[in-house]
Amino acid sequence: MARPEARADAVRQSFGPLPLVHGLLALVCLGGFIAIAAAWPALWQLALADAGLAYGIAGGFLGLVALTGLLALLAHRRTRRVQPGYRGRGRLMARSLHSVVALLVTLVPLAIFFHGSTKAFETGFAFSYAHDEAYYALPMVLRTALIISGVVAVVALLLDLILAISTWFLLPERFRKGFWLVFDALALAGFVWATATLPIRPEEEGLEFVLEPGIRLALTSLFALRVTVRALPFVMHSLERVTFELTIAARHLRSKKSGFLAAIGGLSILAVSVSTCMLTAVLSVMGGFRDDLKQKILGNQAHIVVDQDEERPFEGWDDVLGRVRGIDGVEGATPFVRGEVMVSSTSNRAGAVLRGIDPESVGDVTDLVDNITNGRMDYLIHPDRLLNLPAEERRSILPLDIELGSDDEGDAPEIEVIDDPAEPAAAPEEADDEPIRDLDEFLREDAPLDQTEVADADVLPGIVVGKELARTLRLFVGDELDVVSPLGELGPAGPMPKARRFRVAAIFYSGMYEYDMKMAYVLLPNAQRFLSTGGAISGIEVKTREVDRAPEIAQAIADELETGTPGRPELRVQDWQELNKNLFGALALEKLAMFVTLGIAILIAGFCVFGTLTLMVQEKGREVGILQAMGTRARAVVSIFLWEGFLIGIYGALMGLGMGYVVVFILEHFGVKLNPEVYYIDRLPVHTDPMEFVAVGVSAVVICLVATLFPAYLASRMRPVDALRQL
Amino acid sequence: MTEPAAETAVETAAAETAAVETAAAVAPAEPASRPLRERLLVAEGLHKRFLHEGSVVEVLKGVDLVIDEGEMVCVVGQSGAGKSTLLHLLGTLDLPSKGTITFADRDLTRMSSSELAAFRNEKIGFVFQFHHLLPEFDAIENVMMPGLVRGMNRGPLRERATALLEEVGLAHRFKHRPGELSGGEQQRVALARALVMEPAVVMADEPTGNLDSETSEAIHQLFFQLNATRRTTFLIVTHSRDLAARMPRVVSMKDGKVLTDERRPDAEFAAAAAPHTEPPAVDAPPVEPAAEEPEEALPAS
Repeated sequence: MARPEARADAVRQSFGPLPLVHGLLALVCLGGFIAIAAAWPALWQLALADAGLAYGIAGGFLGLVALTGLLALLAHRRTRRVQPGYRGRGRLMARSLHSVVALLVTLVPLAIFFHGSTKAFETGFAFSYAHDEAYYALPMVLRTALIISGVVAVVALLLDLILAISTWFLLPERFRKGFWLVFDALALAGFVWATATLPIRPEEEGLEFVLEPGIRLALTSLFALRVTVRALPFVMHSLERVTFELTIAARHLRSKKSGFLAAIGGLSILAVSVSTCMLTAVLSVMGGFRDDLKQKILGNQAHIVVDQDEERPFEGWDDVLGRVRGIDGVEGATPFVRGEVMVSSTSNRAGAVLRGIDPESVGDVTDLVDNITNGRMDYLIHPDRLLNLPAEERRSILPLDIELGSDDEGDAPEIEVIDDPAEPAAAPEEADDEPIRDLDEFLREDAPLDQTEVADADVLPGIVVGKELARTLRLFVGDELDVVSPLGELGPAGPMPKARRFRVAAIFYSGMYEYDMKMAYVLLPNAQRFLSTGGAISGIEVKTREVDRAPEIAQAIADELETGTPGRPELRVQDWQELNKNLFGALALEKLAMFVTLGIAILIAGFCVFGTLTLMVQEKGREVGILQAMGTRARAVVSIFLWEGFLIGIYGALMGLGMGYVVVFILEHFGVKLNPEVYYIDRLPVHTDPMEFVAVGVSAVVICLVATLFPAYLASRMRPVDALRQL
Repeated sequence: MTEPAAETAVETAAAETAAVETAAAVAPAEPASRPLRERLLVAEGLHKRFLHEGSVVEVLKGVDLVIDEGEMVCVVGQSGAGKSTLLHLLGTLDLPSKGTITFADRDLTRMSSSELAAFRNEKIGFVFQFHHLLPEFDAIENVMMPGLVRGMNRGPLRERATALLEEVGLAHRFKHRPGELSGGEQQRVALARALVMEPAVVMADEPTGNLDSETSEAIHQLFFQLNATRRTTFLIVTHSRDLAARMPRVVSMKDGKVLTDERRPDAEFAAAAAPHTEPPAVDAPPVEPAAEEPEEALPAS
């Protein structure tokens, strides 16, 4: 009898500190893999910049890997001496062997990649996209090998992670507790340090500014996660004291259940959190698009427009303008005239909307002045200055951050030089027209509004066009263009189109394609004359101090115009949302559709909760019977299970929202680059709305509650006798 | 609201008179000492049918039973005689197909399920064969559970539960979960739980069915002791001849009917009561518990 006991003792002894070694191994491996992930970008950059240092780092890394592998092999040898059948022996063996395999497998893609990046450095084309270059520097066979080995490495790493977790629980509990204690202390220290020193949001755009908030976010998330894990028992404990139903529900969720139920319980929490996270991320991106659009629209358009129904002329606007400006909350107001026209340059023609503006006040209402990229607003008021434009201002074409196609770049100046009749005319003037300019200045003092009249034939009224329009018509500042109005005077053969020549005073870039393509701004009097409106205007644009108050201020304006003297009830007041009702309506609908579609993901998570709770009811059926025997009402039984669903839902939702916040932060600051030619935005816009987070969280919880209804009903319908018979 | 209530009242009255008659019919030879006791639980003409795979199985075929306050009643009979079903019906865990159950002049068969739940909570304590403790809660929480169900404050409840656990001899096991307790200890916890609301009746369904004889004996002792100290009525379904032999009243059942209903005013149960307690209402001298007697009480067990 003594011998097996002795053997058992021997086995126990021979197992010795192995779990500890494996645990350390797991930590080292995991740390190593995290280090690989973190070091990769640095490594290839280094390979490109300083091969020697890169080789040094790679060598050190290799040494670490070799050491870990050796450790794993030793651990494996030791494990093999342990008697078969000992708990965890298989796991330890598999884990130590796999450590070696995983390390080797991970080295393959790394080596290939390193080879590629040094090769890319040698062949000399080192621009910004180092990893692309490294990839394309490789021969075809190695590229395929890189991809395949990369996939294999990822699988191996995942497997390693799983095995590491499985062996982790073989460690003595005291060690694990101690580890977490140290870990949490470090996490706390990291959190405190990050909160004290690092900024919460990047100060400026750009990768180098994102690093610190990124570190802060990572440390805070880690800390929050640990706090959640640590606080959960306390939270549950205090929940238990609230009501009897909550006591039972919380205890059910905490209890060690059968493995399957625990697994699907965990899965349902995971499902809720993943779907919540996804939904918040997508909504934030859609909100970003909407916000971007809103910003652009509000930059180009007034918050409120006062105009007249029909096409009747809006007379007596001076008085209205004054009254509108006097209304509380109005920051600025400016009159405008608008009309559909055709613009044509020497090379092309396009349809456009001509807007007559008052340059003095337009800046108070729209961002037009700030959006000008070439030329100056000044030139619109003093078109004569365009005649002797400094060469660099005229020629500093294409300064926009959006690059044009190469043929455009090459062709545009050429065409202009050849085709533009203004060019040769303007050039000599620059040289010897001093007296005329003096005369202009003299005349301007007298008649500031009507410079066009006083200038000579070459002084044409100015026009401001959008970037896209300028590109289509191949226009630059100082170029001439013809504006043709379809509503012309009556000629001998019926209405004749009316044409007038303008000179490009400035080019603006609003960031919204429609505006950049369609808008052309001229001075108000010019537009009035050209469009034959007489003294009338099309309407008044108004900017409010707070965009959100636009509707109520619009109402105030409408009231004032209706009831004030003289009453102008025929005038129509619309805010920007009404003006762009279709656009924002479509956006809202799209967002709703997205909410519903992704809400279905939460719904599926709800099915998971449903399954979990139904199983829970099955498993806890006997307990329900006991509780009923003790006098628990059916209603209380329902609420026990509803609480369980609620707790699952709220736990999953909170986790999901946290994850969602992290994802959104990463999207916002590390960003997804978009092709501006296609999207007209250079990166994925992200706008987080706290209300949306709340809405998503609440709907997740509600869906979980709804999913719980049926199982809860099922539980309450069980007769105590039947429930008690279950064994 | 008033109409159904009135109706119920009338019917209850009717049932009561009927109950009196039946009781008289069933137990005509009631000793003179009996009328002092209140009639607690009266069952008349209880029928219970189950539908089992399409065929009707009649488990109870007209059972009449009167249980007085402070009485210790033991129900014996073969498996399938309907003992457990009777217990479930009397404990309102299930509804009879026919017949009425009256508890202190209240007709239980006409109460709504939530009224019944409140009734069970206040008036009845259950002890089951497999003790049916809640595995997620420790001993003291299990004992407190009926009070928690009712929404009582934890502080006083905990005191009461502590006192009860001490009384059943588990003072050192408060913080243990059922999984960490032995079968006998679990049953003691279950007994403490049954008593925590100070119910009028404790119903036990084969409470010592899966315990060894020594442990069973200890539990039985507890029953007698509690009956003596608290005057709690006990209704015990058992297969244990040992227990049945010492019970003052034994109802034996067969095929869904009451076969015999035997009262033994001078039964030995008083002897079983611990010496530190006062003898209960029945004024009987302590007698040795007789182990060789049970044959007569247990028909062909």
